Amino acid sequence: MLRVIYDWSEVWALLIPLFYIYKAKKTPVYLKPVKVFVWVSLILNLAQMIIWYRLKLHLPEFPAILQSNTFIYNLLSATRLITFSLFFILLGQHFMPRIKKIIPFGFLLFMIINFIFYEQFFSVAISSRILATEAALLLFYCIQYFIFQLIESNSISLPKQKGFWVVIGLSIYVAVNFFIFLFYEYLTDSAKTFAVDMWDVHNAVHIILCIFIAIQFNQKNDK
Amino acid sequence: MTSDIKYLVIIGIAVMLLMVISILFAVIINQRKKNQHRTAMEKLREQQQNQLIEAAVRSEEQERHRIAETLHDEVGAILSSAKLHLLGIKADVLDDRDQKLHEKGRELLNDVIQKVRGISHNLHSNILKEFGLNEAIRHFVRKVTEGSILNASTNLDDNYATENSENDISMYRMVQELINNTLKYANATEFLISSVLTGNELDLVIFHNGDGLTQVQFEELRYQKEGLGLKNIQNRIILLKGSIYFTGGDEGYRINIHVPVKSNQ
Repeated sequence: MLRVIYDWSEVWALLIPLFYIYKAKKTPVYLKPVKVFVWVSLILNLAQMIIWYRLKLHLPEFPAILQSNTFIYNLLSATRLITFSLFFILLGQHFMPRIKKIIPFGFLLFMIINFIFYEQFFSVAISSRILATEAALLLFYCIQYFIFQLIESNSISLPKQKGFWVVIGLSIYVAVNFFIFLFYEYLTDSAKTFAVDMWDVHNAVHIILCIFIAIQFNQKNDK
Repeated sequence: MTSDIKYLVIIGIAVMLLMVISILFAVIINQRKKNQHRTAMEKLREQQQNQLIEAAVRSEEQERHRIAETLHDEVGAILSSAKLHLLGIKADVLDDRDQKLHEKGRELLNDVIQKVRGISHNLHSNILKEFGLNEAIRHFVRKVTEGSILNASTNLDDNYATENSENDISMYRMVQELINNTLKYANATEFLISSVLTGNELDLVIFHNGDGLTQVQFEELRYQKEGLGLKNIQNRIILLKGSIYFTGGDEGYRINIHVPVKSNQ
């Protein structure tokens, strides 16, 4: 039973920030992309878990392209990068503004090229290339946020900085998952048990990310 | 090969986490340093502001003394001399019209001498220096309410002893300004000034039944050009590290002045 609960953590963990999103009367502009991320992630994760659990749920046979849920991780990856890029852009930190704006377009182009020429979008394996690139780019966003805090910021309280808790959660998420994503394709082939363990680690940091997003939405934010 | 990859993943996760934690730690340390620097700068700015206020208040006080001395020693002396000369005129040889003029001149001259003496004593804090704050306030209240319809009374704590004469001057000037304002604008018929000494803290309360100020009005007025007196009061309060609070109600208006009286010399 615990195993099932833990497997479904990618879905229920998102209900934590959703509760605070619902509770928060006003969402600052820079948090709107995060709100979108939470909703879209919930829908996509629910879909991928239904595909994953279709036999246990005694659902009728799915079409051939829905036999594997890995393509949803590609969609999740694109959603994560686009929404969090927008979040970092809307934070309004005057630090590397051009690079921050180019990254989401560059990543989408990279995804398109990758799935046209190198990998299959509806492949049975998770695309390590896409997910690791996404994690690296998000890590770059997080590091530039902290560098900005080091160099430019004059704010008195760090936790009250715009988007601070989201960045903390995201930093942990991408820092832990970068190596998991990078080698996941290889591990699923050669060390399946270890891969499953690593995915449990991924789920744990996903819960952490959701908690930090919830903390952010629970804070009284400046518009 | 697979076990190498496993180690690589685990070490990679650890290194990445360590990196994020280190960056976060650096940001926190840096923020703390910035805050310390900001606090130090604010303290310095406040200190400089207080020094400026102190210098302004002291120079104002010196100027008052200079004017008081000039009025007393020079104008007063000339007026006394003029009175002597006027008294030297033999009035009995004058005709009725000139006698009346002589008499009127003498009265006016006496009035002027009294007024100059009054102004000089007001500006100079002789009584304050010789008899202390309480006596100076009592004397001032008696003097300004003499002959008016205002029923003024004082109830001052005699346990208070001067710790710092400069601070006493500031308190006295504030009370002077507030009483003058009450007389000018409040149309009060009852007036009470009282003080209570608790430990090292003196609470002065000015109460009257006229139209007074509330704290909000005080805050507004002291930023206006006309509110110079109130601005001076605020400066003196900052200098004394005290507080002032204006309240109003149906029964009257109250000004509470709270001042630490421990010597800071």
